Amino acid sequence: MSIRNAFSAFGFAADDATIDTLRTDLAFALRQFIDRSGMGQTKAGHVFGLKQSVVSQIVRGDIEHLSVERLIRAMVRAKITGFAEWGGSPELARAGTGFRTFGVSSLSFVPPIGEFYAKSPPVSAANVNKTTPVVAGALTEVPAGGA
Amino acid sequence: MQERPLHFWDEEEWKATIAGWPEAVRRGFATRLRVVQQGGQPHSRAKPLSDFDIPVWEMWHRDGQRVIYSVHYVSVSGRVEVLDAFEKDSREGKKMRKSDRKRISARIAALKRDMDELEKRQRQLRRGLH
Repeated sequence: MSIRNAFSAFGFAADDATIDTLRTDLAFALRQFIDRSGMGQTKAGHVFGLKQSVVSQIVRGDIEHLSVERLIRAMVRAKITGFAEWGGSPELARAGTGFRTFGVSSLSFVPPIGEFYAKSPPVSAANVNKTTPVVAGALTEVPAGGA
Repeated sequence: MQERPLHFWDEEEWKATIAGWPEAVRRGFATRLRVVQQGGQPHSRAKPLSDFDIPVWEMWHRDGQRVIYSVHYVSVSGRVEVLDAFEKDSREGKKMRKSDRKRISARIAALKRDMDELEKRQRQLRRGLH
């Protein structure tokens, strides 16, 4: 048996676990940025617009009192590109630096494949020679908000 | 980066153990365990233990005057194995209790058996593919 989210494992509700996960991931991203840049905590504080003591807390992982908003502000001030995403369960929550690659969770915006086929014209000898591919035709028929 | 899943020696026992822990303690541990899941190491209140065959990490959280909560884990094969969690009285000293050490050693032995079994199965699978 395995659990993907540490906050779920410690018995937190889905909403709390999601926020805590985002907070931890953002703080970890900032910590990695500080480690890789070789900046001192005072310099990092200037770059992030935070006090040195707060940078020290981020480095040590004492981040329970820091808000997600404050961490995002620090990343923006340091011109660090990042992302944050969440879903129906804490397991889908994650944040980090860089651009998010097109992954599994993004597919949830696409209607399920079954709906494509439901709206597709039946494949038969009569329409098999038509130029429009079946899947492309189905995609244009799905309304913007899904089925 | 995909986070590494958490495995527990016994999920029911784990839940029962942490059920009574204060929220701040649980949040502190979860924050550091999340960092471990992402491939990092907790920078505070954690240390590797050298008494075992494999590098076991201990995280602790002091709450109040005397109570110390601790969680032990190992990182193996892309996953984080939580081996034990308990609370103790700080007056007992820094040294780990014999009973705790014995319990963790037994769980490491069980984990090793599982990993060997997994490796054996994978080797058989690879042989079958070629």
